[in-house]
Amino acid sequence: MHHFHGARRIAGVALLLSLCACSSGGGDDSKEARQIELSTQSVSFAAESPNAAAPDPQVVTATFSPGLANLAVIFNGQGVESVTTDVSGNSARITITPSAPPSLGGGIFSSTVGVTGYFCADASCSRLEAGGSKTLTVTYQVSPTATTIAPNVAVSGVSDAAILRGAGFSGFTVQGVKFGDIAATETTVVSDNEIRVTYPALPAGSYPVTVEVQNLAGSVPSTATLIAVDPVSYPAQTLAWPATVTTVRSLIYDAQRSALLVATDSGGGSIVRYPYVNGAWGTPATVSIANLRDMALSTDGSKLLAITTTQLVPVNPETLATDAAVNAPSLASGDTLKSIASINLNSAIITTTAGNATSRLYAYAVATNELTQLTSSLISATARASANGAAAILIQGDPATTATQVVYALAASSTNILSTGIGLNQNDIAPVLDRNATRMILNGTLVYSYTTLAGFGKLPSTTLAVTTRPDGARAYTYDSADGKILTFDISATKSGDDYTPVGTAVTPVGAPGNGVKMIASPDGNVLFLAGSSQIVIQPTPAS
Amino acid sequence: MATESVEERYLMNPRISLPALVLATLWSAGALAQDRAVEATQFTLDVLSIDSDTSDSTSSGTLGAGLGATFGIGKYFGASLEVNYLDTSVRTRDVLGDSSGGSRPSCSFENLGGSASVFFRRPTLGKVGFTYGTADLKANCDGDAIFPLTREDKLATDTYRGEAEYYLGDFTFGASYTTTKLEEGDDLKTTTLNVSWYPVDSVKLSLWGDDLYDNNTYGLMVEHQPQMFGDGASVRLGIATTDQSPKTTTIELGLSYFFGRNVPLKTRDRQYR
Repeated sequence: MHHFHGARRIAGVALLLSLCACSSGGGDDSKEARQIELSTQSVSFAAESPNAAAPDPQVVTATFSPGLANLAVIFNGQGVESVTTDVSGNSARITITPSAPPSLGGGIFSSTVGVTGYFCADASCSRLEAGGSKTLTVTYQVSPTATTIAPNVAVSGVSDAAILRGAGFSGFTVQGVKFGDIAATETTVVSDNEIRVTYPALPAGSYPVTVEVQNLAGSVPSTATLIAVDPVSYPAQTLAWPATVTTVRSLIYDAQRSALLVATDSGGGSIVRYPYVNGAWGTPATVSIANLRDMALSTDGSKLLAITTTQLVPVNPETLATDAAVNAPSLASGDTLKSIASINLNSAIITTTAGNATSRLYAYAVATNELTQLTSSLISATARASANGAAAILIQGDPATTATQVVYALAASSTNILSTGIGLNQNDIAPVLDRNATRMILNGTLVYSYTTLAGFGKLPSTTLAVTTRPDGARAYTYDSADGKILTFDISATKSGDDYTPVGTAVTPVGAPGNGVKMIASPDGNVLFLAGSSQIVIQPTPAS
Repeated sequence: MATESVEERYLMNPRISLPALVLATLWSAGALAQDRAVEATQFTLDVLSIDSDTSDSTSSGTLGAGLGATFGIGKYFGASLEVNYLDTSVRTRDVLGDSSGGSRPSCSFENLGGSASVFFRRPTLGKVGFTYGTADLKANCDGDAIFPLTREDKLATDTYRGEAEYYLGDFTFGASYTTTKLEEGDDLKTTTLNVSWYPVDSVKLSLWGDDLYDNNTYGLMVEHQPQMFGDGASVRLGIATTDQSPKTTTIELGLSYFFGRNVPLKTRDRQYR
């Protein structure tokens, strides 16, 4: 028996050794099995802006060895929204769907997609183990985009500041901004959608605005164009209304097209356009818009945004052709639209009135033609914005009461409507902001620093209309005392005291009538006054 | 004499199959011994950890647990029932790296299965048996992980296995043939050979090989019932590797706890489980 057991042990060891021998030499050590191959090693996506639609998904084909139990496709990075797999035979279509650009913002985003084939790890397939694995690099470029520049009109030969709006600037290193081939003298990226630039003195012309960034394949898409116009030197003259006017709602000088646009109550509501052609003011054109209340030029100058009591009507500023009106959604019964101001998001803030009660604000997006009701409510507010669209003032209150109301400011950068801490009850004179929102004049007489909200001083209480020189250093008033235009140096504070006129009071070439609105040309050379009687064009007083 | 006559008849008839011959041999040999196929009912709790690493690909870690019962059916037959759960977590870093930013995706596979076996055993000679198992595999990956056979993230399997063991002193020689049906796909057929050696009754050294996917896989397993566990538990450590490309190396660490009679490992293997 002892020998028998010894023999069995020898046999067992021999069998173990034979298995070991099979292990080392019985098989082909480099058998290619459980492999996987991809049709490409890299995929790239590109979107033209953070607001663009997501690019189409792309398909990569994977082929794998027979017997594959599971095909796992995993990914990391921000650029890929999802992957889906469709298997047929020993191949699979892997569809890679990129993330939506708005969820990413501007930038270049890298992702990795890993494709691994899994096979049964044991005879009963209770567990899987990896076979071959391949990776796929996904590069996704969401380009920044420039959309508007405000103001969109420059005065030729004059260097000035402007605000370039767009999206995705933070995702890249901005190297500079160009106006045509001319580089900006100063460029500051304020936020992902705002660049503050200073353009040099430019000859008259149209300048596509381009943004140069590092590491971008291609160029930054841009729809922003700066129009440089020569300074105007219109002689003093009056322009008659083509039809009887009782109330002037709004007055705009379209410097890009050398035209004066006036919203009046004539015929129940109309916009009158006076073109300046070949050295003279041409025949006015008129478009009737019932219940017209106010109007503003869009930031890019492409649309004249007119509001009626219940609708917004986009108007071609050159032909006065109207687009389909957009109804103010959820407008409360008895509320009416009152005023509109454009801000440099290529949008506008619209106020409403319900007498002495609060009523909701609205926002209008030019690009999408959408009118949206906001949650904020004010009392019969009046909105006016700076020419660069960076700020709008919302002054509220009702002339029938003496109660003061908070004056609000809308900062385009943050889109927040914030209290200025100033309490006033508005009168008939709309607020005024200079070109770059450094000064504001409330109720026609109260001069403030917009930057610090400090009260600078007061203009005469006899003021009927007021405007500023574009640089904010001068205020011009149309005074009821003797029907003259007065000039005030508001570049420095009076610590709340009265400003005294500078230079010589100028008697306009004609009396504008009642309810006067007054504006200055972008170069500050000409004042425009419009009242119930006529339009007055008056060179700015020298001072 | 009775044994010799039975063997002679089977050997002279070429239509008798090999399993039948093995069965007959065990049956006839068992007539000489009085041991039962299963001496006493035994319950077993298994926990295991498996690390699987495939070269130039993804590694994974598996944690699992199983609960089994083995009991006798009469003197010569036994049966066992087992349920188990395995969770395999893929180390996605291996394939995606850390450089792309964002959160790292996860990917795991779950298996929940059960099996039933019946066997004929003579503890002095060996056993033959048949096992049926069924399980559900489920993938849970960030991204997409599908089983081509189902085009879904889950796969049902049915396993049929015939197995035989021959006890020769301190050695056990085993062979099994397994057919696993993956849903409606082709069967996965695997032959496994193994030999175990008990240098002492509390230690088992096993060497095995199979031809899964027509490629060779080899493994070495050591199982030990330490004295400190009072013959009531065993630990095992195994390593396996493939001879194909990409090569996969698997290391398994397991712990079994036995409810019931405490016996040496060799005895347990041949008379209790």
